[in-house]
Amino acid sequence: MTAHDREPVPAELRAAVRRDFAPVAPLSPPSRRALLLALPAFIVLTAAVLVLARSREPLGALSLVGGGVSLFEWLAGFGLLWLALREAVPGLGVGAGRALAALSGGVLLQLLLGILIWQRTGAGLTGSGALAVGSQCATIEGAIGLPHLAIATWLALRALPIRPRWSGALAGAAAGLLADSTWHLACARNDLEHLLVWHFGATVAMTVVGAVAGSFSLRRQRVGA
Amino acid sequence: MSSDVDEAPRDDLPDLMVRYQAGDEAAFEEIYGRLARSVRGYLRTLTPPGADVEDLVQNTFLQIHRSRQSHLPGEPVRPWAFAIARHVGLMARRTSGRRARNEVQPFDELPEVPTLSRAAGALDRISLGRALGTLAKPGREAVWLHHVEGFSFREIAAVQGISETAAKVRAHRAIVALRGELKEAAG
Repeated sequence: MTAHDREPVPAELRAAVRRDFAPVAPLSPPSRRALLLALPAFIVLTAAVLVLARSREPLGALSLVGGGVSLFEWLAGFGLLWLALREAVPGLGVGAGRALAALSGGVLLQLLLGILIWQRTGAGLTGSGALAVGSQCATIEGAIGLPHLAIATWLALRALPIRPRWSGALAGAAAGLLADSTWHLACARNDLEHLLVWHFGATVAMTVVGAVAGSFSLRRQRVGA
Repeated sequence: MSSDVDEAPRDDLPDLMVRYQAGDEAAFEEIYGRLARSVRGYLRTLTPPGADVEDLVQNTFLQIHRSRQSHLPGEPVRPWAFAIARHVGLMARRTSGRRARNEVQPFDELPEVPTLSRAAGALDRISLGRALGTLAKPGREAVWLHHVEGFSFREIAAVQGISETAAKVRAHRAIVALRGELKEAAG
């Protein structure tokens, strides 16, 4: 194709583009951005394992099982975060099918790890104490996870998520897993009910929050279209 | 516009994109010149009859401009640009509330179609254009991107957000349906 065959830019489009023609820095690869966001959680969980292991205190959940679970959750969270940021870049999206599989896999992993902890170290607690401890756990996981989710959503929206609901849901699940990877080391409750309702539930809630945040961004895009 | 840019092959698009991100307006014009026609044809496969495709082409390039930082250095440009075009086309369709799936486009709405090699000579362009218009949208997209734009199935998968296997299946099914339509047309 020669220059003569090529279409000139319409005047209206040229004028619109010229209004904002500042140089831009291309986004870093999704893996690098995901690592930067997930790294603090990894440092916290590693430090927690090292400090508490050196103190020789009764470890409770912070056993080898707890540390291993944290590592698996962190890896799953990092993977989902990477997928969320990748999904947000046009032409790099993983697609709805793979996103659903990854999302289900990540959330299921937390469920299975919760059952594993319960089987190895679990002890029940019922009544009003269970509710108070559980709501405290969910609150703290939210306090750790929501900033992760907010930053991940911001990073995703800096690109152009074609399926923002999926990007948001993946980022939400990632935030839940990263939050749980650190907090469950400090949580003394290992009974199945507590793990399922408050820890697993917090991750599911953050997944929903992420998907809803994605839907809002989609609506904003439609309005702006 | 410099002559080296004029003669640049299609593979230079990632380099042009780097210049565009650095604020080079000539690079944007070059990218527009190379992609506009293809994007227009692709948008016609996505949108219902009567849609203002020229407006969508401009919207696509506006979106490309607004999200130009989202192109990662070294990645191919066309799947990125076509994914944005697809997004714009689908948003327009949703906004208008019309369902394009399975709609038959009148022939005069369809762009110039380079005929598929197997169909070429057997049937005329009118029959092929009508037959393409009868295909379900995802299959029509896949056929268009592969046979007209020369996308690999991997690139089609990236644009449509599906697996490479699914892209192959869509294109295969669409080609089978297209053959059936063409046989009927041939009578």
